[in-house]
Amino acid sequence: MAGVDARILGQILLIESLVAQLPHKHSMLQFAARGLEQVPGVLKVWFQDEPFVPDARPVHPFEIHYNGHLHAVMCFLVEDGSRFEPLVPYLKNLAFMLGLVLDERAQREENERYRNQLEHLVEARTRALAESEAQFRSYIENAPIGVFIADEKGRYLQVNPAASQITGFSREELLGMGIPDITPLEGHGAALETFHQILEAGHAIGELPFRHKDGRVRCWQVDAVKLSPSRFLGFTSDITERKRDEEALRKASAAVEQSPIAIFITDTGGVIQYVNRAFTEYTGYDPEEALGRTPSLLKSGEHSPDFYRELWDCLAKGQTWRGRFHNRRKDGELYWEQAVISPLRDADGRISHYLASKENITEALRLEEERHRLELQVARAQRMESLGSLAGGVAHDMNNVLAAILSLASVHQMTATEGTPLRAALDTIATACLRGRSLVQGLLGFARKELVLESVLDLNALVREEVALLERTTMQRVKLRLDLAEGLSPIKGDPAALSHALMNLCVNALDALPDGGTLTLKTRAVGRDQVQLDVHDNGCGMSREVLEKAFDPFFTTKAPGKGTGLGLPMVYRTVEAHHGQIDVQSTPGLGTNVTITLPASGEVRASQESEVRTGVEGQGLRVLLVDDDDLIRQAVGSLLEAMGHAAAIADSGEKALEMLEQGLPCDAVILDLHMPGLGGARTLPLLRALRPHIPILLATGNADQEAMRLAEAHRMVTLLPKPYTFPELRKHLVLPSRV
Amino acid sequence: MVRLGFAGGTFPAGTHICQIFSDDDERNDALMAFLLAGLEDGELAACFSERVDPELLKAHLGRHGLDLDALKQSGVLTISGTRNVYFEGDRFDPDRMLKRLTDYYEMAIKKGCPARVIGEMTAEVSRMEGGERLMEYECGVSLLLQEKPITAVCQYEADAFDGATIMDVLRVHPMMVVRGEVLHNPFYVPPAEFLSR
Repeated sequence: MAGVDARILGQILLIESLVAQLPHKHSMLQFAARGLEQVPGVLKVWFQDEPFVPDARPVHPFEIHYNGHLHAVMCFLVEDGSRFEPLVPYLKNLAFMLGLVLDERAQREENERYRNQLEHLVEARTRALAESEAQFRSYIENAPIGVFIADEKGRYLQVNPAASQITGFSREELLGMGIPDITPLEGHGAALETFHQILEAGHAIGELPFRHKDGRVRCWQVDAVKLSPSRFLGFTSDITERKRDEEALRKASAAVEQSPIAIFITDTGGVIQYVNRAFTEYTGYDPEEALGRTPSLLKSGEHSPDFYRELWDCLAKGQTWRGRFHNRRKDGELYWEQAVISPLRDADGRISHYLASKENITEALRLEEERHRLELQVARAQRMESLGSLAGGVAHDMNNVLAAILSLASVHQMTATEGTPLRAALDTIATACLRGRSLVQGLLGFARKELVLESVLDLNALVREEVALLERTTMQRVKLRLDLAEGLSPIKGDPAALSHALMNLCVNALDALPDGGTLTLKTRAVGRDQVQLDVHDNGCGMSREVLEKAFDPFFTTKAPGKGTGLGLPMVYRTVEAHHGQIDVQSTPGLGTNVTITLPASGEVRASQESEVRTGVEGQGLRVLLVDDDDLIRQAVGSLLEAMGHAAAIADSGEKALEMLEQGLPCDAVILDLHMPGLGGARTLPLLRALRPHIPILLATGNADQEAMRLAEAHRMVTLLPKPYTFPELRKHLVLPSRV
Repeated sequence: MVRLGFAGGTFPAGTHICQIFSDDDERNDALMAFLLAGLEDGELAACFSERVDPELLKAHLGRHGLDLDALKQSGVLTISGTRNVYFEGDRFDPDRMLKRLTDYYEMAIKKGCPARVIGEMTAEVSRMEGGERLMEYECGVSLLLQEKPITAVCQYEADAFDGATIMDVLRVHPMMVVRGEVLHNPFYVPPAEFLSR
């Protein structure tokens, strides 16, 4: 200390004592500099931040540093360095003390800054935590699901408003209750099980019944976790309606699944997403085979692309499509289905799927077709019945007209010179009359309900006779094939009618083979009671429309003059009269098959030899003509005279009997069957009583069974179909031979 | 000899002391101890400070059997703000202040008792008209107290003034408080010398 003024040391010590009271570095250094400048010999004192850079003046630097940090450099400008030298240790001490204070101050400031930062951080975190906690509380309070905290005995410790709303109990009420209080007796077991699960696993979800404050037992889903051994957090939702909906949905699903109607659902791209059991039954495809594919797997190729385009256009417009598909099963079998396809929409109203429900209508269509066919048959039968009645009525009169014309024409054909215009005209008149007769006979054919003759017949023999006839006429262009069953049971019927029917069928078949082909006639037994005859051709066949009208009288596809339209109707009536059935199958381009089924007869077939009357043609006979029709009387009278006979005329049966009773000489009688008064039927026995031995020609336009019976009941009575030609009358007008 | 209250020992009446304080407690502790010691010793006491807490002071004095209101009423204790006393008329006038100190001393003489004053100079003075005469004023006080021995304590807040000003303030106070002790100030420059620089 020697050489240093005590006052100066006091000043330095005072600076050291007070400097720490000053608030900041700048103030401290100002204070020290001003104080040190009071030291004698010191010209100037200053502080700088950078290490000292010597210049021309004698400056004494003191670094103020501590703990490795340089805080400032204290610089002295002095008058005399030697006088200053003794102060250096004290000034170094001051510099050290300043460094210590500044470092401590810097450290404190740093700490203060950290503390402030920390406080800000803590404050921010605390605020965020408070906000988060408030937010969390808000979430819980406003949660749409019930939230509760319960203790280990299930007593509610906290509940949110939703829990109150679900149970109907207020928050205060719930806080005085426990889970067992609102669990109905039947739910205690499940609740206990759920509780044990939470205890063991720390978490459980259960669907449990609870009793609402209003007394109703409802269902809630409880999702609970264990917070601590005595705290459980639970989340609950009332799922009563959802469970009800699920049950309804389950029933609906079961109904769909078990529906007899095939149902499948596709996405909007047509990809199948669901099929029910009936779908598999209808189509043969298992769900695994159908799911992920499109309904095109059922396509049969029977529908055009336009058909499917219209379907999709309809669906794309959001409309329901209804229609029929002809589809193909997995096993290749075709089937018909009636379908309804509707769009399904999502909650936003957008089409999300398509629902198809389909009903297999194959059998229904078959039955419908069968019903239609039967209706056609009935209608056909009714039409024929009415037409038959009409035909029967007009045939008689028409025959009389034709008979008159034909008779007169025949008379004059005999006298007119061949090759003359008159003879040609008479020939034409006779031909026209014969065609007219054929037409009337056709009408009478299906007007007739009973068989003219009924005898035991061999169907095969009948076929062979017909074939023999056909072979002479048409077999050059058509191949005839016979397939006749051996030992076929005989039938009972009218051979002429059946022959006529068979002829009609064969003619139709031949007409269907204009360019040649094969006509097959086949017989077979059907059991012991029926026999069948097929007439099959591989000709042009018939369309469905033609087939439906084929049995209609006067319907024909043949050229005018080539067909009367009465062929098949007559066949139909003939088969009907034989108590049989007729069925026609025809495919355009492939041919036609007509099947006639007739009842077999148990009787043994008799000889088909018919009774042949023998006799000699008479001439110059005395013939009594009995007919109520004036035209007939005149025409046939002229015909008889032209034949060289003498004709006596009577306009009724009564008149004829009177004339015979009065002794009229008579060799033969032509007796009209249908007349007013006694008529032919009652006149005949009286006439036969008067003249037992004269032949009688029973003239009728309708040679039915009644006429046959009359003819058979009396000797020497022959049926004379009207109208008749000159040769036909001459053939019948014979006298019995005397044996 | 008088007691200061905030430091041990006794000092001659008329001592001019500077206290550089760092916080309110340091200021208040010194202020209340100084006033209490004077009042207890039968002196007139005056306090010029903006930040003296009357309730605190009342309680402090009360704990020592003194009634603040009665003391104020009797004129033994004068409490006034720095602005009212130092900056009256928004002007710092050292002559007016020295006159007031003189009057205060005369009044004490008349009452037959010594006087003491404690006042806090605020940083406002640097912005006040006449503020540049602060050191002149402090020198004047030192000179006045030699003739009219009022024991005076000048309080300066370390945070309110820069370091150079604090050092200048020290230079015009013969005594100063350092860590609770009143010491002779090694930086003290006698008023005549200071004013002559």
